[in-house]
Amino acid sequence: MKTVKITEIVEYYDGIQLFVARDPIGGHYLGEAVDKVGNCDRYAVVGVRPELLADFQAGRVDLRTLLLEMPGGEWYIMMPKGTIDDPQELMPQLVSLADTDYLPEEDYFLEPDEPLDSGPVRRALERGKVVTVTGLVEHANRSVGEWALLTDGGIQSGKTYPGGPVLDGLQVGKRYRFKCAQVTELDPLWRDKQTLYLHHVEHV
Amino acid sequence: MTYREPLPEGCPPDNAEEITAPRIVYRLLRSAPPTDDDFRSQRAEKPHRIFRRVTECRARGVSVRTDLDEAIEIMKLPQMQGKLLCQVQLDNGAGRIMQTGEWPNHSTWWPLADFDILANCSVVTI
Repeated sequence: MKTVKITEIVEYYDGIQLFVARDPIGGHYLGEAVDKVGNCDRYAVVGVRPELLADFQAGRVDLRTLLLEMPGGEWYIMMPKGTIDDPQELMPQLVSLADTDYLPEEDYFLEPDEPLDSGPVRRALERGKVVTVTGLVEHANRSVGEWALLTDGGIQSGKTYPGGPVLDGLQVGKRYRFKCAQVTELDPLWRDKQTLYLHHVEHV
Repeated sequence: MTYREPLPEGCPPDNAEEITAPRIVYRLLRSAPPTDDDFRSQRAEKPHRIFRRVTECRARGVSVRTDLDEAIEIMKLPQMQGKLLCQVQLDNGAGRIMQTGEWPNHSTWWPLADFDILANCSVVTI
């Protein structure tokens, strides 16, 4: 029996609507909620080519096209068991996916990610969610707005935000004090994570 | 401040925004006219489900879209086909809301018990 693990939730509305999964040998899959059995969602899962999946996630290919381009025409039904963090069994289906009611309408596109605006940072600052980090600059990448400091407690990393300080002029290996807003965000699996956004920087 | 559904400690999160000014959000309905059941949280719908990828706080909120086009887009998915769309006029006293997930237009709304959702909900003709 083929199994997959969910690696990313790409659409959510009152539950997981679309997810990306990988099998034990690295194959890529996309699952979409199709119906419910009792209170349990059922998903149609298809193998997808990584480059086509990337096009879908970038908003260049619609979902229906992605699903119908499945390699070998194989698709599966998945009913999550145990915890959704566990490997999930896929049940192969004999009927063609195109002959089911499980395809989305045409032209369902994902919106490409948009950059964070300053709202969450402002709210975190207003609520006093400020963290001060002092250490040696380990890296500072202005183009992607990511930084890391080597502190006494290890590496602390974070990001910049629109309207906040940029990373120009920081010297790798020099010591700085970063005052940061701590913002609760979601990782690709919708788990809470704390992200530090640089709000003020000084050389020490 | 009493919310429509019982919430765990620390919920809504600190960075959820208190609604103090008019704004519109969109929610899918099973049928028209809308009923209270259309605004039940996942937790209310699935009392015994273990939500491992969604915090209990978020499971006790209501998914809404803040952009009409995005709301229409999700209606193309198989599980959403046949649903109706309503716009909900939120205002001071509606509760708290937070953008959740990877997309700027998906938000979780925690309605206050005193906010009359149905009186502020109207079906959108597409």
